[in-house]
Amino acid sequence: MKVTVDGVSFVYPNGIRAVDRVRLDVPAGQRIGWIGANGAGKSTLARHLNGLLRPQHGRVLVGDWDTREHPTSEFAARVGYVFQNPDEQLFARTLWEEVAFGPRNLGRSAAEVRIAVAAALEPLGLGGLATAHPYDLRPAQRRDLCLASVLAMATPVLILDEPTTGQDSRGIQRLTQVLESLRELRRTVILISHDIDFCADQVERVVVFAAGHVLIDDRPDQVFSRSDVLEQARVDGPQLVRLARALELPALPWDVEGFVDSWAAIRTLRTRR
Amino acid sequence: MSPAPSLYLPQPTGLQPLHPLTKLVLTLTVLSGAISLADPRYVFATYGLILVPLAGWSRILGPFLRYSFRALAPFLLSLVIIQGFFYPGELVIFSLGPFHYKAEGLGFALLFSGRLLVGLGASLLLLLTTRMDHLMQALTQRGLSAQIAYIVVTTLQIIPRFQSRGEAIFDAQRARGLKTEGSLLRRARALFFLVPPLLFSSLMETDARAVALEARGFGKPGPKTSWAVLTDSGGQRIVRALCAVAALAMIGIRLAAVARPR
Repeated sequence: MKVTVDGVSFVYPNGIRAVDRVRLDVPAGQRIGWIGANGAGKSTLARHLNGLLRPQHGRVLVGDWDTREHPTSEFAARVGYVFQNPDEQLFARTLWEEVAFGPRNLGRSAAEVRIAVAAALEPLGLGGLATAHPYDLRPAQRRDLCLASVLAMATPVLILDEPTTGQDSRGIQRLTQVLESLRELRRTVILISHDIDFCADQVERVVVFAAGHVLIDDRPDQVFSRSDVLEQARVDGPQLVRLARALELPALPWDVEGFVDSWAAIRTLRTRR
Repeated sequence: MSPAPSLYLPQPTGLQPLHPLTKLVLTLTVLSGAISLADPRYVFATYGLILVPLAGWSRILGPFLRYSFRALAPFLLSLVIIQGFFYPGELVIFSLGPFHYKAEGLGFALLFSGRLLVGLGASLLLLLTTRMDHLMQALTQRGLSAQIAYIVVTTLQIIPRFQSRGEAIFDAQRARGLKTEGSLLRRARALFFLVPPLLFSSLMETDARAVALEARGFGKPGPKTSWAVLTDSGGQRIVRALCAVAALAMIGIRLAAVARPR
């Protein structure tokens, strides 16, 4: 499902202009990363996509729905939002009930809910804990539970706000697998993250925000080669790019394969000399 | 970036630049006035003639009125209905079947609501015009233990903190399809999904904060270094003394009136 952000601006009551005339199209099935320093406007803009915030100027369309014309509870069927802090949403007495909450709100049948809950818990390693209390989980597992509770809603658009925070390498591996399965399902994924390396690995397009504006919107290799823009946005590029720059490699890679190719090329060149 | 969980609105004028203790004493004086006054007209006048102009002078009238009435409206409604019907009295205003709505109940409900309004308004005035870290600093500089000052300040911060966290929790539940708009019943039902995460996250935060404070030497005896310089003046000291005298006098008069044989 396509998402259209059309000249959106938003100013908080305390006068902070969090989003300023942002235009952005996210085609159906795309995986896009939103990066930028704290306060750059990423989360504020994301909250516009399911109507939690309404644009003061401009409009946001999700498919053919304008966020000004439907409540968030209706947008929940189209846009899933995994928030940063799991403790701000868990309320049920079991993991099963927690994950079933969203699909039940959307009016799915009992059989559909059962299938959705099992399918959401299993890939995150929570299948065996369905009857446990959410507050008995470790913080990283509570974060996984929040993701499962949104995955179960099977929304065409999914927003992940800082999904790698507090995750160990296994957690990140599970998250990667989930993102891979979402790619196969042609779901639109918006990844908001300070974890640039994870973002560079996972997305096919990167938008860099600063002071409520979009500084650059392009393929990851194009974005991460622009050190001037990243500096302006107060964002460090991926470690591989920084390493390649320090080694003065001819081409700036943004994944391991690219780095190896670039390194091999320069070694060949040096050997010939 | 969402605003910080604080009600403080910085302004260069009004109550904001005053010493935190002056504002605290003013709040306590108004509160004792509200408790001492027995006529609802005077209690509402305290709100309208003292608190509202002070809020206007401090350029916070909009949020002051909004927070006051939002918080009070449900109490006012239930007090006026319940006390009107069930408070003992004889002056019947109207009847609904076997139930009689009495003037004494209405009077009591108005007095109680007025006191709530003034209490809430005075606290809001303090919260909207005072930085909590400055208030804490002022209290500890006057010899109050850091622990007690901390309890006072965190108690005052409960409203904005809970409000901010409550909004975040509601957002998370609405994003999962919870309907919070519409009938009173639907809104009441939505509260069920607010309370457990609100309590849990607050308890987690309290625990984590207690450990973090202790680990950074909060409980260490002796004076602490203050960053901010709080400006005080002779005029403010006089105002505080007068307020304290006025508050004691009002409470004394009220106690004498209660104790007087009828």
